This record gives sequence, structure tokens and C-alpha cells, in this order.
Amino acid sequence: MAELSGPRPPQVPRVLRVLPVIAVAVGVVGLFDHAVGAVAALVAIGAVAATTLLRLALEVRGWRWPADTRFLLATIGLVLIIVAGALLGLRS
Amino acid sequence: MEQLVVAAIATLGAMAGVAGGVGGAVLVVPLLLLTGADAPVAATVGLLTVATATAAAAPRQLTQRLANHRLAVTVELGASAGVVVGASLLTALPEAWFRGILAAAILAAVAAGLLGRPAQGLEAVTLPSAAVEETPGALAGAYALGGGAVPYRAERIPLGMVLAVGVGLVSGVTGTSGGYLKTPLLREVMTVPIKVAAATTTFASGLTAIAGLAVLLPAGAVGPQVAAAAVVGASLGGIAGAALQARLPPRAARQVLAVLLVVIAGVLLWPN
Repeated sequence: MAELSGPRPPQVPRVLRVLPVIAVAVGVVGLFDHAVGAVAALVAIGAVAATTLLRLALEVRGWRWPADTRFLLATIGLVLIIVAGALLGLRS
Repeated sequence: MEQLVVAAIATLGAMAGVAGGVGGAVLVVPLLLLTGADAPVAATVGLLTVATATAAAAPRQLTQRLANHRLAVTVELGASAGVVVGASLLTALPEAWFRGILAAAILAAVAAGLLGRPAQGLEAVTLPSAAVEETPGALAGAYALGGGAVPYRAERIPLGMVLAVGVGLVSGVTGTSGGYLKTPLLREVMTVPIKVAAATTTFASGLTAIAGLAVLLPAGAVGPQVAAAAVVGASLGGIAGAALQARLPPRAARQVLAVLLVVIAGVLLWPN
């Protein structure tokens, strides 16, 4: 029976479902409550960025070694480019 | 007040963009520009729209298993370098240049949307459904179709990575995802099936947006509350757009959006 119904879809980590919801909820607070606006906005942006970066980290954790070493190096290169971009932004 | 305008435009842009299948930023950036925002503000809000859309799509994408994450990081190595350079150039770019490049990007999005190949019917199922996965150590894999799986393998990888730098550059300068160029790049140059190319592009565009935002947000291109407004608007617009997309005839929705985008490109190019 299991073979007829095919493989089950993979389970999505709950954190990847929750973070976008947090981003919207905190973003709405930041939009209307000026007292906590800046902090709330930073949390909202952080939650959005963290969802994609966490998704990548979870994928990398499932890669196989040493076959996937070059893709790990590409991922490290990508992170370094993002950090370099942030340093450029801070200096401008 | 400014944040409410941004929230409204992000909602409308994301809704129409998602419903029409081109993503939100390609509408949000020109609409902001036409309502008086300057280029760095419009581009930053555009990239926030892209990052939000990618985050919201993550659960659905992981269930579908269409995106190839190894391929995404490989292409992003070039695209992220391009977007960092593009975003750094943004403040120094004359407004007329920004409008011209944005109009060209919009027309490219229209062309990609109207001329893109159909998503089904080109590949043959040759493997059992249990074979659906990314291949370890390679830019290859198999995706689900019908009751089976279709194998694929990316080709011309160095050329793809070099061209991705240009895609990232356009993305950084315009604040759009560049998906309208990235999907054709994966499909036509790297011979990845369209369904895998589109899903991989959605994930990769989120990484592109994060790299661009890493430059623009610390530089103070927008205030935190405007950024929050973009996140909220893009989220709500994305949800509404996905619901709308399910009800509208896809071809008609694309054609209406294409006409709207061509008009916007024309307005951008119209001398002030």
C-alpha cells in the first residue's frame, strides 16, 4: 500500500513555517507602534533573512561528504560575499 | 505616513506580480519611483519584497522538492558578487540611468513571462518516484512528474556562473529579483528543466536579495519602519496574489500584467 501511494512528502521544519509569520506580526507592530518601531522592524527583517539562510543551513547539514565539499565551499564563499557587502554598506 | 504608502504599494505590487507570475519587485520598484521615492529607497524596498516572497515560499518549496540547492549556491556565487557591486553603484548612478536600466529589466521580465516555455510536456518520466532528490556531489537530480521522476543535469556551469554575475548586477542596480533573467539562464544556458529552474530561481533570488540588502540597509537607504512596511505589504500581497492566481486564467493574467508593465516601462523612459 505504501508503494502504491508513493513516498511521503518531506517534513518541513516548523521554524521555517513560523519565522515568516513572526516577520509579519512583528512588522505590523513596528508599523503602528512608534515606540518599538525600530526594534520591531529589525526583528521582522531578521526573521525574513533568517528563513532563507536557515533553509540553506539545514540543506547543507544533509549533504554528503566528501562528495559535496565544493558546494560547501561555494556556500562559504556566498556567506563571505554577503559579509563583504555589509561591510561596504557600513562604510558608505 | 511614508511607511503606509510603502506598505500599500508593496501589497498591491506583490499581489499583482504574484498573480501574474513575475514576482512583486518588478512592479513595486517602478511604482515607488513614480510616486516620488528615490532610487535607493525603491531598490531596497524591492529587494525586501523579494526576500519576503522567498521566505514565504520556503515551506511549499521544500514539500515540492523542485528547487536544487546545490545549483542555487553555485549560481549565487556569481549573482551575489554582482548584486553587491550593483547595490554599491546605486547611489552614484544618475536617475536617468536607473530608470533606463529598470525599464529594460521590466521589458525583459515581460519577454520572459510571455515567451517562456510551458512548464510541462517537454520531459519524459524515466525513473520511479522514489528517485526524486538532488544528486550528492553533482549539479543534477530528479524531480517529480506524474507518478514518476524526471532526471536532469546542469551543463555549461562556468558560463552560467559568469552570466549570473551580470544578472546579479542588474538585480542590485534595479532592486528586482532578476528571476526573469535567472530562470532563462538556468533553462536555456544550463539546460535545467523549467520547473526546477523556476523553483531554484525563487530560492536563489532570496539569497540575491539578502546580499543586496546587506549593502543597502546598513548604508541607511531606508528607515527601519519603511523596511517593516515593505515586509508586511509583500507578505500580505503575496498571499492575496497566490489566491488570485488560483482563480484567474493564467494566460489572461500574464497578458494584462504584461500590458501594465510595458506602460510602466514607457512612463519610466518618458522624459521628465
